[in-house]
Amino acid sequence: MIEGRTESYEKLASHLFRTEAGKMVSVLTRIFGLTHIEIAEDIVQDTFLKALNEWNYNNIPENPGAWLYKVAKNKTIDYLRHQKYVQDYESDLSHLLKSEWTLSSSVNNMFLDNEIRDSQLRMIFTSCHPSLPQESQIALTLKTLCGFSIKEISRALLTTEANVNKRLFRAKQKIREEHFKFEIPMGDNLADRLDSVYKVIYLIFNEGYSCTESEKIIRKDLCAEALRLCQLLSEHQVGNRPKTYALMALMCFHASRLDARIDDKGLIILLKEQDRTLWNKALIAKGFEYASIASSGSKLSEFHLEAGIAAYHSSARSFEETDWENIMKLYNLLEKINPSPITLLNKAIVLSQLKTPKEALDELLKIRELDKYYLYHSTIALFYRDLKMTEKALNHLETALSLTSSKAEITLIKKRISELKAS
Amino acid sequence: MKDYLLLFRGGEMQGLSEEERNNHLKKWGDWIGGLAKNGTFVAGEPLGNESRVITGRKMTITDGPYAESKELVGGYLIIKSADLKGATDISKGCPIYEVNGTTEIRDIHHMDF
Repeated sequence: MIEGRTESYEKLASHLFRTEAGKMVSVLTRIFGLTHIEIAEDIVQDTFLKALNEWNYNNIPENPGAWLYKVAKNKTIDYLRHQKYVQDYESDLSHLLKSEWTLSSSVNNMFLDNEIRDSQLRMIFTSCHPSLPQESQIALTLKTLCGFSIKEISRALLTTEANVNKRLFRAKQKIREEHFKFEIPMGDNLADRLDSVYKVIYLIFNEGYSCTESEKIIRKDLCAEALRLCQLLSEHQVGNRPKTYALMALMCFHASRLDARIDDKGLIILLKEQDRTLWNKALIAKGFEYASIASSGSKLSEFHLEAGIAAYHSSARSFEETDWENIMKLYNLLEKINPSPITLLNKAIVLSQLKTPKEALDELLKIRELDKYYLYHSTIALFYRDLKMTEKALNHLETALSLTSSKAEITLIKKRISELKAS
Repeated sequence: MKDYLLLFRGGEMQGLSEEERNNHLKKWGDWIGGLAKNGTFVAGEPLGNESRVITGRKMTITDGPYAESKELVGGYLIIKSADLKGATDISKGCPIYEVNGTTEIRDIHHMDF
């Protein structure tokens, strides 16, 4: 009985931490200024500690979100009162924090819904600032906007906690030294700044979607956070543009397959073998909604094309009924915009459906840059297998095996090897 | 630019409902927030009712400065202005007159000796 309750409040607290921590850190950073981002993080941390302590013994408040905001506001006001004659803040509110006439009303105002959204966008553009290395952008976004702990970030990004700490420390140092402004960019450089945000969102989503060693829950959270950040962007005038909608559509389509692509034991199920009734229809519908508003512009982005490809997969009733020809047309366009080796790899897979494994294999063998990529070798192996060239297929599977550390991938490749040997 | 002290006295708040009171306080916040934004605001605080007055060599202590609430100082501001006329104009934006209060404007004296 008591255990059940303990578990439910801890669950609620961790769920709230995900959804509310980023909002509160953003709002408080707006109040204290970017140079004092640690104060914001400490106050949010204290707020959750208080929640964990008090909710343990008393009932969970009726509106836990409002409870958290109230505690955070009070802690903020207390802090500012103590520091009033001591510290200056670089935020555009600093002058309002210096007097009781305006202190508490200013802090309260920052917790209004539209101000919370505004602060989160400022935080997105700051965390994804092009002057920061990409790996820091991702770590910072997960830390400040998605309520991820250092431990969770290290698990999500397959690195050590010390490494994550180092990245975050350097990023914050750079933010201070180069006097980053906590603002939503406007004018000429907006498109560049948006691109850098898109990239981070896309990478966070991919990290969640691709089958790495990290646990299922963290992977799902990564996908959900990428969707949430993109939606936030799409709802603001700075981001309500076709490319944002296309990215949103793309992620909705892929996310719809999250439950169908991994089995109970954490093994990957390939598209061909997935139970399509497990695909999330609500997310597919949402994907089509975003895809239709994404088509309003005149500029075709790689997200549009990738969303289009994903849409064809999502609307196919079975693997055999997939519209490979139209998918091929989109890959040809994608190759023009982004002629990456990954695009070519995917194109070759589509070619094998449209033509013969031989033609697909010839295309694959032309790609030079993917020699260290396990999926490249396991795909080649697949085609050799179809061509009954077992020896070569096995060689490439062994190479693939040596190139990945993901348990799920290793299990899948080993399964293929034993199937081949048995045939 | 010189600094001026604004002393706010009185104001009949007792008769107001809670909503009217909050609306009135919001006007103060907005007015002073505006002064802070345009760089006029230097410092200032609202004051409570707890008070003592100490007088003379004997340091006699009595309750509160004034018996009547209309004479009670409810808060102060220090603002920047080119001259007394400018400070007076700024003070006209104060919400205190809506509740029949008064503002006293004084220049801050430089003690050069």
